[in-house]
Amino acid sequence: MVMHPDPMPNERPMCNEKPSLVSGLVDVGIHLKLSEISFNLAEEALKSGEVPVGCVMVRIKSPSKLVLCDKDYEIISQGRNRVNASKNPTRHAEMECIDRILNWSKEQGITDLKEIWSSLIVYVTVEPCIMCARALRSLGISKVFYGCPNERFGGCSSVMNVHNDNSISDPIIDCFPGALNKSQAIDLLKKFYMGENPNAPEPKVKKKRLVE
Amino acid sequence: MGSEGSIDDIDSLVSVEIILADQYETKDICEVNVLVATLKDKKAISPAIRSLAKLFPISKDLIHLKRVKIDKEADKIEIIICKVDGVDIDQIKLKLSDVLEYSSVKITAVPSNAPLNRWQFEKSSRLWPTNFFENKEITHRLDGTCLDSTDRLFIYQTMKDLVNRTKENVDRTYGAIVTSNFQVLVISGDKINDHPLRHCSMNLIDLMASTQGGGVWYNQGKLDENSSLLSTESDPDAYLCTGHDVYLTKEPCIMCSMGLLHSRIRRIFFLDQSMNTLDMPLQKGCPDDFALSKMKLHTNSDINHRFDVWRVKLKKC
Ligand SMILES: [Zn+2]
Ligand SMILES: [Zn+2]
Repeated sequence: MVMHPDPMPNERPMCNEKPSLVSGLVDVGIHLKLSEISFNLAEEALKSGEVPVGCVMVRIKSPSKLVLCDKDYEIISQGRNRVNASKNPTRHAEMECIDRILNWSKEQGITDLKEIWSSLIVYVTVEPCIMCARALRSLGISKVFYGCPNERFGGCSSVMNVHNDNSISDPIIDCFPGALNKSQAIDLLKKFYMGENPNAPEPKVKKKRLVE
Repeated sequence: MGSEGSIDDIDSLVSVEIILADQYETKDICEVNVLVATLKDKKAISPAIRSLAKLFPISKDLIHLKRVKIDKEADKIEIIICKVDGVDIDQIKLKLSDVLEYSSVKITAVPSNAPLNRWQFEKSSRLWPTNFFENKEITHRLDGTCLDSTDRLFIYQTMKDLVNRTKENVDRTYGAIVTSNFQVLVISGDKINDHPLRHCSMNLIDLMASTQGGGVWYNQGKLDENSSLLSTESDPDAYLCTGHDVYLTKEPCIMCSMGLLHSRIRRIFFLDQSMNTLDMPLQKGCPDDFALSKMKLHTNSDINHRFDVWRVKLKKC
């Protein structure tokens, strides 16, 4: 008989036989971990006086395209809203993540990113806006898990259907609204808009904050 | 920027047309059926109007219509009773016979909406006498008279300068951000060979951020061979692209249009696609989403920032 050592703390168990999957794709435990990272990024944004949105881009490595255990995926990018710091209103969490992947691929000497984009699952706490939805679709990203809807600018059904509009030639995006905790995402946004943020700038500055 | 072209022959050099929401641009009108009574003579008009005002006040969505139509040629006077939707016509005829001297009652189609432009007004009037509360601002935007010849000369020169840049750097699209008093702040081409999302507008937005002490790709004054900053002093009150216009050699895609919207741009001028048939190189840059000309993203009523969009045609290149 072979003795199995105790699993390391924080280490995921081996692929089990009857997995319980979120959206038919990701093991529940792994999903919770990825959600938590996304929300931590959103919290970090809030503390810096930015709109609290966090994003994690996960590369699926298993041939089955399912994420059942740790070796099936790799987090290749993490980002959060940086609009105020950059004074650039397009620096949403998704755009930050995309730039990191492009830098990372340059370092790795990867020139053809097609395969990378198409193998990604995007975790984002709020529905991507119209701009980001088009950006994700341009790249060939096909799976987006998000928390709450983006009522003002949502591009994945709230304001426009950029994710599946058939006049756009790029592959459509499968969206999974509510895959991340919806009320947690809304609570963070409420904190921001109601100015409960302890580090919020002075009113004069606040007036000029970029809130998308 | 170039200084070619003179103000006297500006209309032979450039034309600009605004892209408004469909309801302002369309020449077509919609119709609705109403019940109309034919009056016996002119003397019957005033009493009829008075009694109908009590019995059948005109519904709020038809106030663009005059109540009475006098057809002199056919010697016929008609008056609107009410909409036919969900009413009992026999019942109405009964009520009418007490208060009105009429010869017949029939169903007639009338314009269902207030006209928003001259074409719609003319078409509506042929159907039924219609009031036209002309919105002068809309009219001046539709016929282009809100841009004077100084504006047009600047539009021509700016666009021509950007076109020359696209000719020197084949494939690339170019754009510029300009203040309301014609000061060019930044110029940039796209950089899609390095980064799939660095379309022209995205670069321009980041260049603007860098002039305000931010920026990601152009932070700390980092420029490249296809971009330039033209403003010398920076305005401490500057807020993104508020109050500024953007000029582009290609219609922006959905991403870029929305990026410009996030930037609070005032107006977008883009070069008409048919320019590609002149001696213009085919431009890559933004995908052909037709975000403004067909999807009309800027007229979406759910989005609260409004900006005007103009299509520019250069007649000589
Ligand atoms: Zn976005
Ligand atoms: Zn674009």
